[in-house]
Amino acid sequence: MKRFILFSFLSLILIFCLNTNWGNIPALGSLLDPYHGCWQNVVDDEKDERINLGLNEKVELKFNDRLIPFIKGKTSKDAYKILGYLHAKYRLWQMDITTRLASGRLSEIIGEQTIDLDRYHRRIGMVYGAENSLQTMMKDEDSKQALLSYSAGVNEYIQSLSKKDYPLEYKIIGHEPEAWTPLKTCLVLKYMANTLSGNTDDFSLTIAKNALDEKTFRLLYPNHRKEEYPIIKETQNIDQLKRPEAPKSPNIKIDNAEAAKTESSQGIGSNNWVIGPQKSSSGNAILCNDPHLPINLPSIWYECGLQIGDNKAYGVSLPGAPGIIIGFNQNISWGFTNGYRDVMDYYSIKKMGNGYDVDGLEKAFSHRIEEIKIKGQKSIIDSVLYTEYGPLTYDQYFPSDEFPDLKLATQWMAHRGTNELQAIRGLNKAKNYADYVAAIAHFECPHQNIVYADTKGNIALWSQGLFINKWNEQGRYVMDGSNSLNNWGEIIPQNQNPHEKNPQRGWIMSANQMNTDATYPYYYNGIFHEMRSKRLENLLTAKEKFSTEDLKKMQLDNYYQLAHDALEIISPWSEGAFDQWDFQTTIDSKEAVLFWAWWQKIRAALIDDEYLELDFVPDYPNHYVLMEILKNERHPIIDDKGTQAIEERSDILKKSFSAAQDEVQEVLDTHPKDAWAYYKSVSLEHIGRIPGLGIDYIPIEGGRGIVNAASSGGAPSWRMIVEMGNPIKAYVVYPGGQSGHPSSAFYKNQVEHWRSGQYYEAALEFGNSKAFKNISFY
Amino acid sequence: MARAKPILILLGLNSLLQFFIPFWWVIGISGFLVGFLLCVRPMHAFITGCLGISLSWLAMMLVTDATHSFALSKNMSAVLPLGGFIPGFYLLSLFIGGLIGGLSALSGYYGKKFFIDK
Repeated sequence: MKRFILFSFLSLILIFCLNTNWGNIPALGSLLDPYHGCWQNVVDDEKDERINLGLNEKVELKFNDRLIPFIKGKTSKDAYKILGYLHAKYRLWQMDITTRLASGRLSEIIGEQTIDLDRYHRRIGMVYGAENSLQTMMKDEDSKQALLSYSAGVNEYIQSLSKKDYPLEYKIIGHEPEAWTPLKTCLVLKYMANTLSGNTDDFSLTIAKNALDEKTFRLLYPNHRKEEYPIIKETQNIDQLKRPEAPKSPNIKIDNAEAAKTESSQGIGSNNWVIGPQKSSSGNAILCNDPHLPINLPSIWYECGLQIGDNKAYGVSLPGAPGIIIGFNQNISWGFTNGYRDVMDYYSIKKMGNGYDVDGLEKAFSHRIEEIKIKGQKSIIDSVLYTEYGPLTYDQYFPSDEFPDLKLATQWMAHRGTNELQAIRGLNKAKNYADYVAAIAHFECPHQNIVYADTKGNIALWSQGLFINKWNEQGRYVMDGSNSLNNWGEIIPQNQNPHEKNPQRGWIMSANQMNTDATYPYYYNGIFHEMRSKRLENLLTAKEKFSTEDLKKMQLDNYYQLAHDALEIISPWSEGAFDQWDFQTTIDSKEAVLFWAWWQKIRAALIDDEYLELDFVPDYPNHYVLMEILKNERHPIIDDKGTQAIEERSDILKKSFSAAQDEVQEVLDTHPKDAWAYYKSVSLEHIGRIPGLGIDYIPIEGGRGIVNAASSGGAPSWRMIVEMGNPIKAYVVYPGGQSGHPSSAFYKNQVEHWRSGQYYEAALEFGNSKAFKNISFY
Repeated sequence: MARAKPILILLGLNSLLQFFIPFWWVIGISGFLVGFLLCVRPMHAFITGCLGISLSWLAMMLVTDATHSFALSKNMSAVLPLGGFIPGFYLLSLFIGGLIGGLSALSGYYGKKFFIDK
């Protein structure tokens, strides 16, 4: 009897233990069970299938040899249902985790480690913004249909799963798929808005402005630098609004600020450009786009053809949303770069009674109760206060790293009920320039430079978004929320957004530089960099005509413009180390390593001592501001304020050069064949950071600030070149593969092609080749 | 040979029960049943449970994994801290299946002693 109880008990305890996740250790029993666990996550990529989706008309869907489906639907309802089904079939866990992250629901499956991240996403108003967008979208019949059909498609797939079919990540982490809803699509879109516009420098500039004297501040962080290579060379505006007067003291004074992660997001950027017939060797307009985003496995993009009725489109879709985001159709092609115009501002809120102070009157907060469920623990209830500006993101219950004493409300364009789906659908079916302009009017946040080319040879670019007519420097720093004049005012009519069509020079290009030249009448600020745009402009003007092959080389261009420009000033102190360098950031480039190490040391030597009292640097100035300083032998910024002596340029350059040499010696010695690639270390981590499912290191050329922007913070997530001839020819590649299932042969099959700078041909039609796989949907 | 028969029976029973009880801990039930009904000594019960379940698992593992160019075990041996060593992943799986199988068969054996043979 004793032994019976002993062994039964032992067995049951063990079964319990192996059925439970312990921190990061998965439930090994259920995971390793070959009948239902991870062993069942083998994939038969090639197997033909028959799927009942309740379609109006049967669809024979063909996949090509990269597992790219050519979706056809007589109606948008059928097509979006199929797209939803396929997104789920190949990317379900990715969609799940993205929406959980966006809506602050990670802790539900991960546990207490992610509580702060969840609270941040709730308090920045992600769900609030997504709900507003959902309302707007549901009022538009087409968008509503798209959302509902797409969700139905996703849910058809989820319902077809039994436990053993759940994607591998569910089994490792130990959670279950849940139904898709239209709100989740909105969350995916808002998450994109957050990636692209949720990273402002308002905090760091506020700290800098308070720490430095006015003259030094203006020198280091000029409001508008003179831009030699703006996107829009000549702004075309009509009936411009009057710029409002700035209030007397709009910004807050900071007594104490804390160090926080401050380097502005230079990794995220993008390139796009178009050339018109006069610059094209074939006479066809050509469009190029490579959006730089944090890269992961599975890829952020899912490539597909999407035919609705007679309208054929091709390009990349975003798992979680219906439509082709970047791509082309029979008539036009389009692409995006981030605009970086600041559309997220902060207000310091003063408490008054039970509410808050605006112009000496007490205003009432509204409340939004956020319940954050936590795995293995009781839920946290976070009551977020909302002001007329937006949610109170930071307060004593959730202090910001930078200003722990302040209550800060966030006003963000992404809070508004925008309808990007309508823009995407419009672009997918646009026949001409007018259709394109009408479509992108619905693209309100994030700010995007949307480039255009058509089969008739027209090219264009609109710097598109919803913008406020701001007074000078409005929203550049944290503003005083008790003064209503600091609130956002009127919206600039969309037809006055900066744009160009068919300029004489025959090309238009954007690469996250300043949007406009000085003739643009409205105030805006943002994080702009011109290294890539300068290089691209040089390339675009250097040649009379370009073929698609030339443009491929241009997308893969590894020229280090920053190094070239800086070394023009500083190379005399480099002991000849760069004399033989052609500024190419090849995988093994020792010069690139030494330059970047040196430049960082120079930057620190110039700037760190300006913040002696603060003891940290809120953000480093633009590289070209530093170069201006270095043009002088004895600029006041050059002197190290921490020492008695007066330092000169040669002092700090010599010292920093030898320090940089010492620092990189080990890398150069141990990695003679991949010094630069190893130094910048590009990886392709699994989106859920599950070890073993990503690629730890990809030896690749290029880097931050280089046209081929493959860096650890972001990389070309989709390279696309579209020649608008007859037929339309496209060349594409992305770092990843169509399938999100790690055991699939299509999980990361394109990575090497991407790394080595090769492209795949793509077209609107499936063509005559044999299908790799078929699914018949009915 | 007669001693080995229960192993084969367990192998078959466990594979069959998967269709009716789609949970990993079904191995505890099949192990218990065979231990209860067919095993003659404690050691016999443990080894029967251990080998019966391990073999039933190994067969399924090979059928799924080997027909898919070992992509799954390659991935999983990197996900779990096994340094990408595929046999390590097989052994870990077999160890867990075998341990539960052995213990539950042992419980079954002592259950029979307690309820029937007392």
